[in-house]
Amino acid sequence: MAVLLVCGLLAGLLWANSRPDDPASPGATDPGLVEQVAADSELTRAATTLLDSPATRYRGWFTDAAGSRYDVDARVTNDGSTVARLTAGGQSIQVVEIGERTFVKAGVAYWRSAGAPARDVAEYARRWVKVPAETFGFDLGDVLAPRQVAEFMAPGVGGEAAASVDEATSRRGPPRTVDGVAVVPVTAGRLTYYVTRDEPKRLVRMATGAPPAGGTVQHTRHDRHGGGFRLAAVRTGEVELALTLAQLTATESNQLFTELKAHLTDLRRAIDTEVKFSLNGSVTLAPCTTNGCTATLTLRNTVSSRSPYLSVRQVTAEVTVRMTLDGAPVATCPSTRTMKANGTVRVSCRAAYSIPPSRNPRTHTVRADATAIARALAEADIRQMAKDLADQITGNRNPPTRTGAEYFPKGRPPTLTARQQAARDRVDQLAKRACREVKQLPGEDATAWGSRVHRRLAQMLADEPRTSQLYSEVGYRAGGLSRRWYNPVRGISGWIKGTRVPDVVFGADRLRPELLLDLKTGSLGLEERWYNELVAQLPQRYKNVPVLAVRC
Amino acid sequence: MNTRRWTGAARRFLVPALPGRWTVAHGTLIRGDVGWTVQQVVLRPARHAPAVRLDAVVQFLATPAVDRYTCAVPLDGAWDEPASVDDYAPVMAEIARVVGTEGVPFLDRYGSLDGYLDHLREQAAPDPAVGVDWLDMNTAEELTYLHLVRGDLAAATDAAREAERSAEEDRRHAIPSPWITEGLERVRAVMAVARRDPREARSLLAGNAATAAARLGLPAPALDAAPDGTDR
Repeated sequence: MAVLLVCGLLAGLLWANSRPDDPASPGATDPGLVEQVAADSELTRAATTLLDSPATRYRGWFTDAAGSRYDVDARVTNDGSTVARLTAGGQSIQVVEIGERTFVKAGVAYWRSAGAPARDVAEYARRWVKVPAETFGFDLGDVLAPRQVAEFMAPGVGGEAAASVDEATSRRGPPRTVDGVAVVPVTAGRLTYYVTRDEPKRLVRMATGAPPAGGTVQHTRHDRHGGGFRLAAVRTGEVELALTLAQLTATESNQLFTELKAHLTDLRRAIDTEVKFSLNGSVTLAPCTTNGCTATLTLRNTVSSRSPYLSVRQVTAEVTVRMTLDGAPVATCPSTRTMKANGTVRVSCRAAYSIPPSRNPRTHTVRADATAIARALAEADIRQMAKDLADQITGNRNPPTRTGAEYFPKGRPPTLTARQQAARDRVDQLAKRACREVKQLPGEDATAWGSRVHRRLAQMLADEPRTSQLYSEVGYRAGGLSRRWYNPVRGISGWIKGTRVPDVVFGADRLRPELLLDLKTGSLGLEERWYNELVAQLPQRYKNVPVLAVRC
Repeated sequence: MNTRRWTGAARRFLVPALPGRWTVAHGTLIRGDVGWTVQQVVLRPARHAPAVRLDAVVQFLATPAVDRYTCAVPLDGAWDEPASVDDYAPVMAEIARVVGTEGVPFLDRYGSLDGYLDHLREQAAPDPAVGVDWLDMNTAEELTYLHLVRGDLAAATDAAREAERSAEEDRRHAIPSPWITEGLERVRAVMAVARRDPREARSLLAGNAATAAARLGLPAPALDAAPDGTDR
């Protein structure tokens, strides 16, 4: 009897999917679509597991856009904070990334080959050095954050908008093993994801290119060839990589957070490579007598960052003035000075010496020179980084509740104007039609189906007349409209990290939104965390507009 | 979407069909020369919608934050991505028409420095729907820089004051936006230089423009002479 019931249910589903009189039916019997759904399902289930993991370890290699190859062993928190060791050209490089900041610790040879100023190389080798995020061809924390990887595997799985703009068709390859684990390779765009055959589905490897023809994938190679370093950020080209993944246990994740917090102490003295110093004007030597001399120098800093997020408040410089008398050192004056970005500071050094009368009268030469390096972080930066980490730790302990709300801001339901209500009703109507038209296929994951429904709704909105003032998928970032970002790993474009995208915007202009609507195809509602992140990116004067869920 | 295919098709079909001088870089159509402003037609990102949707955009390059834009109009139309460059021919003919009728007038209106100032003044105008009389930080920051570029330190000082107020308003909001604080810090730093030497501030902004152009894959901007004719 049970068998009969199941068969009857399946027959009903297939019939519902293949009704010939439904012109909008996506063609459920199309083998291509069935394969796509199965492949997406593998990715979605593995992405969900990855999303719930507080941190992941990556081992393997990657090449940057210039073809330099790096072996990598990286532990990355869900939000992208990273502790990694890279190896290239025989050099070992430590990398720490917290928030938007990337730091490197490496030896003299690395800094020489990276083109660091010759007189600073020794100091660079002793300390952490802040570098542009894309020093190694791409931002490790951005691209490898498990949350980001999950979003790219299954757009929408985390309720974010960081996923691909250019969705790739996914397809499965023949089963194989990775390090003895049975997997199914799923290729989407330039990447192949290796998903375990056993439940819970896990992503155990990802690599650029199609899977190799053989049935077994050996452990990720640690190729010792290649090398070469570039300090300057590069325009991102396509990169190659092959990485195995292991999700960290709770204990290992806690240990990673402890390490990151411990690094904060060392990072206080990190050097900023994006601030240069020069001597400005002449050096004053006065007063100078036979008993001593005071040198006064003016130093100028030049901020040369490509980062739009560079803190330009102040520059903290470690300045050392060295004085010589007739070529012999007579004074070294180290000091820490705070100066405005692109500003100047005066430093003085007093050398005490004694020139006996027997040596006078004759000419003596006093020289003064100064070197300076900039500290990368002010106390406020350290506090912010500590807060970022604390938020991540709290987020891991208290994962967001997935029940959600029907509207935001919290409190009483928003009162809509007649125009807004009409817009809401229209979107509601279209959403219900999209849910009806796009049939959930047998075995199709709810998230994958929801993604297809969203696609259909976006198509419908694109067909709406301009007078409707309805816009689909407006990406907000820092109060403006987000640009496309080219992901060098996937080889496709996507939203820039941090972009938040409500499904529908109603307003005379996208930058003057009146009402934001988000389609929910399942039982879950709007998440508070998503709402908070969205509001933080909205045009400033429109941060209080109502956000409503729209249902199937 | 295959950006490379789009770029190839745009070079082959779209650029010859558009009035005036256009180039294509990294999938973006650029009209005329790059200066303090750049006039563009960009592919609009979308996860679910049809692949080809476009915005006409004017961007003021003195602001270092180039990953978003605030002066744009969506061009009417959405097209599925053709399978080959050849198949783009009819789509590009339609896009050329829309760019000509909607994009070009928008770029003509806001594409110059004076035009961009008009855009900022429109942004600064009170919106009865939200009922606030203070400026958005992005608007305040761009106004500050634009006035400095035009050599109007007094107007820049007023705009910088608006930036302070904007940040103050945001500090009172339940969900503050970090980018607003960052914008204020940039404004303060530039104004500190401007009060000391406006020409140095202009030079700083020229550096921003060069960096922004590089980040966007644009040619180095050709910047006009300062109002007093002393620098470029």
